[in-house]
Amino acid sequence: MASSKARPTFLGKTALVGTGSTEFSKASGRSVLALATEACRLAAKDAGLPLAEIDGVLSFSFNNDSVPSQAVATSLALPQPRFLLDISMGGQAPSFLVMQAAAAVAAGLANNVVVFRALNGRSGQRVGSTRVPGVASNFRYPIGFTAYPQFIAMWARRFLLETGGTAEDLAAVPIAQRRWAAANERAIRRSPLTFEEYLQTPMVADPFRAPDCTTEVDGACAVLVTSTGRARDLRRRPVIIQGAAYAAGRGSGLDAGDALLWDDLSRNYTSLLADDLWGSAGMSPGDVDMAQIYDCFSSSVLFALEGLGLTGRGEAGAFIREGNTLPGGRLPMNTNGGLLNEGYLHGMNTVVEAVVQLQGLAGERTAEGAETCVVTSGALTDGSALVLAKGEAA
Amino acid sequence: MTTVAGTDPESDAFWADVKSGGLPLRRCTCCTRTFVLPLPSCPYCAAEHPEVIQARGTGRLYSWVVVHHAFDRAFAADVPYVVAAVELDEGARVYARLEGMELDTLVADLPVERVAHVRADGPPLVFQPLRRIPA
Repeated sequence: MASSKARPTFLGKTALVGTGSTEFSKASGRSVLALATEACRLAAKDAGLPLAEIDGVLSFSFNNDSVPSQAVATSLALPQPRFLLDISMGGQAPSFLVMQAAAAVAAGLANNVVVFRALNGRSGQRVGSTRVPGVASNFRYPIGFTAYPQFIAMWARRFLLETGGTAEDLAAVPIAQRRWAAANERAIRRSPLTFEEYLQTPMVADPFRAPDCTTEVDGACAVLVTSTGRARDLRRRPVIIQGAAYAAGRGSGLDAGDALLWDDLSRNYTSLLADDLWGSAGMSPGDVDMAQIYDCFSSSVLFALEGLGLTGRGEAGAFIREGNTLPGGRLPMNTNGGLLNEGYLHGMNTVVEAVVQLQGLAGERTAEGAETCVVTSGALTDGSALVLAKGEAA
Repeated sequence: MTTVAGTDPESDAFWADVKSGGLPLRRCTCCTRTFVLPLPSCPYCAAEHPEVIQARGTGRLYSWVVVHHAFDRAFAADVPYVVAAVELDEGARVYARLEGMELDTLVADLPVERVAHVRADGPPLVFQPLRRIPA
C-alpha cells in the first residue's frame, strides 16, 4: 500500500523564465565547463536576468561525465551562491531537478536557480557504450547484456508482446518526430523518414533499429527557475510550473540499468506518477495541449503516452500514425524532433523545448494555440514529469 | 570470450556457482519469493536474512533482445545473439543467452530450460526451448 498522494507546495508560485542551448555537435572541441557556462549564460540573457542575481546552480551527471555546479558558479562569477546541487542520475533527472529548483525558490533557499546539463556525449564518454557500475551490472554483463539500447529493448519487446504492438508502432515515433525535426536547425537528424526506409535501416538491438535510438551529441542546455513574482519583471512570458511528480516503483533497481526486480516490463514509472502529476496540476490527461516526452528510444514514448493516460493501452502507436502528434495535430509532441533527432542531452533539451514553445519562441515549429504542456524525464523504473502552463505576457 | 563488468564478492560467487552447474537464488524465509540479486533483505516484504537455494533450471521466456551491435567488442564475435529474461519456475527472473532455435519461433512465455554443458569460451549461462519432460 503506497502512501497518500503528494502535492508540491511550489506549484503556481514558481516559473521557468529563460533557456539557453549551445550548438549540438559530434565533436564540440570544447571543455564541458565551457559548454555549461555558455548554456547558463544564455539562459540568464534570455530571461533578462543579470548573471550576478543567479544564486543557485543545479545539475546532474552520469558516471562523472559533467562538471560540478560549483565549477559553473565559479566560471559565471556568481557572487554568492546559496544553493548548489549535483546529483548522479540519467534521463530521469531534468524534470526532477526543475522541481528541486522550484522547491528551493519557494522555500527561500535561493532566488534565481539555473539548472543545466552539459556533456561531450559523443566525442567524450558515450553513455550508449558505457558500463554502468554496480553489483547488478555484474549479473548481466557476462551474458552480453551490456548497454542501454539492449536494456530498453527488453522492455520494448515485452510491451509489444503485451499490447499486440508491431514494428509499425515503434516506427511511428521516429517517423512523426522527423516531421518536427525538419524545422529545427539544431537537430542532428532532419531528413524525412518513411516506414519503408525505416525497415531498411540496421537493427541495433531487435526490436530497435537505428532510428529508434537517440543520437549522442556534445552540447549543453539550461533553464532558469524563479518565483512568479520575480518573473513579472523579466523579459519573457513566464512558464508556470503547474504540476510536478517523481516516482520510483518498488524494486526500482540497484543501478540505472537494473530491472531484474521490476515485475512488469510493459509499464514504466509514468504509470506510477500519472495520478500524482495530473492531480497536482488539477488537470486530466485530456486537458493538456502539448507533450514533450523523454525519448532516448522510441518505445519510451509509447510507454509514456499510455502510462500518463494520454491514450489507452496499446493505442499509442495508432494515435501517432493518425497524425495526432504532428504539426496541427491534437497533441503536438516532441516538437524539436525529440532526443531521437535533436540529440541526447539526457532530456534537459526536452524541458527546454517545452519552455521555448510556451514562451512563444519556437518560430516555424510553433505548436499554435498550446497553453499547457506535459514534460517527462526518464524511461525505466523511475522518472519525473512536469505540467507547465503559459503565464501572462511580460 | 566473455568479460565481467567488475568484480565483487557476491556476483563472483554467483558466476563461480553457475560455472560449476549451479544456479543459486535467494529465497525469502517469510514470503518465500525468490530473487537473484544479493540483497540483505527481501525486496518484496523487507524480511531479513534470505536463504540460498538452487534453481531447477526451468522457466518461461519473459522477454528477449536480439543483439546485432556489440557495444563491447568482447561480444562482437557472438552477434547476432539472443539475451533472454527468463522467469524461472521458482519465480525469480534471470538473464541468460538463448540458443538452439530459430528466431521466428520465439513467443512470449515459451517454456525454456537450462543447457547443461556450455562452451568454455562462451557465455556462462545458456537456456534453450524446453526439450525434456520436466521432472
